[in-house]
Amino acid sequence: MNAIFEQLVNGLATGAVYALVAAGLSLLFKGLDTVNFAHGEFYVLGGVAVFVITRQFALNPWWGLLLAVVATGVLGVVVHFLLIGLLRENPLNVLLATFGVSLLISNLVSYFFAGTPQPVQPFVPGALIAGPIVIAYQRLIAAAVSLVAVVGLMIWLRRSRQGRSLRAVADNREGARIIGINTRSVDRLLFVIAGVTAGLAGALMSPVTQVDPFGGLPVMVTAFVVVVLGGVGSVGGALIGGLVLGVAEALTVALAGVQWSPAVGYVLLLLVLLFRGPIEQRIRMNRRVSA
Amino acid sequence: MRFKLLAAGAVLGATALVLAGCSGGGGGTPSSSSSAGPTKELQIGFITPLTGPSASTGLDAQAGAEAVVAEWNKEHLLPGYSIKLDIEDDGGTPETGVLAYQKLHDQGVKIFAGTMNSSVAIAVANAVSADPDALYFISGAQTQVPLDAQSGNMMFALQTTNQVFADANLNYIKDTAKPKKVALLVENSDFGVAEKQQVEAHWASGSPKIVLEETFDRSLTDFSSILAKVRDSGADAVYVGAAGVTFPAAIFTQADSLGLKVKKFMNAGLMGQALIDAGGQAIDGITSADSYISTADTAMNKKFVKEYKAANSGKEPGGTVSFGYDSVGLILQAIKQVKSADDTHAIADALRSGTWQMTTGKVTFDDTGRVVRGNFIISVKNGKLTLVKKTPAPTPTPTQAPSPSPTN
Repeated sequence: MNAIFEQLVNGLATGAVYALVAAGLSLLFKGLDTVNFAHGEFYVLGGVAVFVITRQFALNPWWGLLLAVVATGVLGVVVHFLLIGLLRENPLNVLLATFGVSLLISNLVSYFFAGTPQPVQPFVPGALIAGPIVIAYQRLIAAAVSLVAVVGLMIWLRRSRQGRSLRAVADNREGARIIGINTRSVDRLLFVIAGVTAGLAGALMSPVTQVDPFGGLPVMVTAFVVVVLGGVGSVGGALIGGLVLGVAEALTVALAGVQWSPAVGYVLLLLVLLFRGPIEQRIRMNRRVSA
Repeated sequence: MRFKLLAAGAVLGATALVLAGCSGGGGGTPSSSSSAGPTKELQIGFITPLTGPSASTGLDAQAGAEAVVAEWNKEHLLPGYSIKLDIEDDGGTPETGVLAYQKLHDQGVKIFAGTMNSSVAIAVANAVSADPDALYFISGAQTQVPLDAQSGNMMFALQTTNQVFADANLNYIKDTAKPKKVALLVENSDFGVAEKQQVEAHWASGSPKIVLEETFDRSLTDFSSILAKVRDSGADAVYVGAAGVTFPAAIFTQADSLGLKVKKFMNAGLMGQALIDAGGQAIDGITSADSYISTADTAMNKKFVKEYKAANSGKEPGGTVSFGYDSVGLILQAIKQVKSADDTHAIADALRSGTWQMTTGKVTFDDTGRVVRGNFIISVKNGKLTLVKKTPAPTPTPTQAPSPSPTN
């Protein structure tokens, strides 16, 4: 029972980070109708920022967190300028170009890391021991910061003027343009948010998982699953999807073995794709009848 | 008139000098004369991953191969030849490996070395076998498939098979390290499954007892859930079976952060600087078998280490550097004995029948073309690779089970 409870805590902690990575991807997907294949590499770059701060400059890893946020945000602006600014007429070209950016970043990092994943020191070393449950402080920090960031993003989207503009563009780009919203500026902001969420998650998890130059793709795939679970464009959905996936994976490890863990996401994905459409249709029909 | 005669004489003289220079042999001066006499260019094709996930091993092997070629050229150890290493990137993929081979072959190269991944070595070997005169020395990959499949006795391999590695490693753990309860964590791949079978076979007596078996996906980076199970199992040791240093480094780093105190073991063939770089302090105490250690007590190794450190800011060579150095060095030793690089069959025959010097000691080749060599049990202590013991070379057995390479 203790083992199950410990896995539950682990799953929630992991799920919170999944939610943070997926939130940015989800917003970008909804807002621009395209997939940023380099999203996972922004996650890797977050870890690289912590690596540079701690290993190259021997500074406190919290500075790495700050650098990760700034660097991935700036890179988001650059990628937006290069890809959306120059290629936006053809969404397929944008999609392919993000794939190119993904390859470029992963191979550049691999070159500087000589192809080997690099460890970075935890922000706070050690683990919290509560009876039979042991959880690394770094994981708790990652979960807490991720939760705060996701909830903060949800509030910002609802309450702030920019957030509302962003939602308006995501819902109806043409309509938003007609009422005077600068869609280009919103697009840029979307890239910044997506970059920062991925970079922040990568920085927080780098002491747990190391910085792997080719670690972007698995993160990207997980984020995709969470986006589908939670619904495209919904940050709240990403939070729920992330937590559900994290807990489901951890409990699968505890009850069946880690070899079944990668299948969990895809099984959930399949179930959602099979049943969400009919369920939503039925709900809409019931509403019409009752109206 | 006198001026015209002088001019005509000068033109004739110059023409004669040019013609004499162009004539080469036939009693003339050699084209590239030096105190060592005429030299021919000996091309050795070196195919290695310079990009992609295996790039670190490929770059190391390249450095070793370049070091041995520079050494032989500098000291004129192969009279009559100037050795040229033609390096091509295989990207760690079979398709690129074959393209790299074909490019070199089209340039007239007949002698090849390199390839660190089994899948690449198998593909390149298939391509090499189309040319009966091509000699191929597999530097890093452990696969037995190309050696067993060859028909012309022109293929060689530097590494011992996983079977030999496993015997050295797992018997040491069982008989000397003696953990009581082991958690076995292997990756979900053909390599991981083979490693799991080896462990189960070697420890079938129940000593040590395997109390937990987990097979993880190669995309997994967060091992906290598995490590919670390890702690729950009561294991006093963890054995990681995975291709590459990434997984043992990640698993033991995360175990360390959770305060999990266990003896650390892993599959053979990964004890090098890359592991220390990836694992940091968390992998201190890890023990496994490998084919090379920079403190190996041979004159060749001491010279190799000294020159490598001088050229690389004091950095010690790892096993993968020695793979490049030794594989190309063995080819050059055989060419020197044969006294010609033209007859690749004679070079191959010499390699198979002789006893040769490698960085780690004298070696021979078994019937399949694989080097027969001993291994080392190595432990990481205070961030340094430390020799625990040397294991003897096995009796050559041509039917050793093929297995995938840990560098895959």
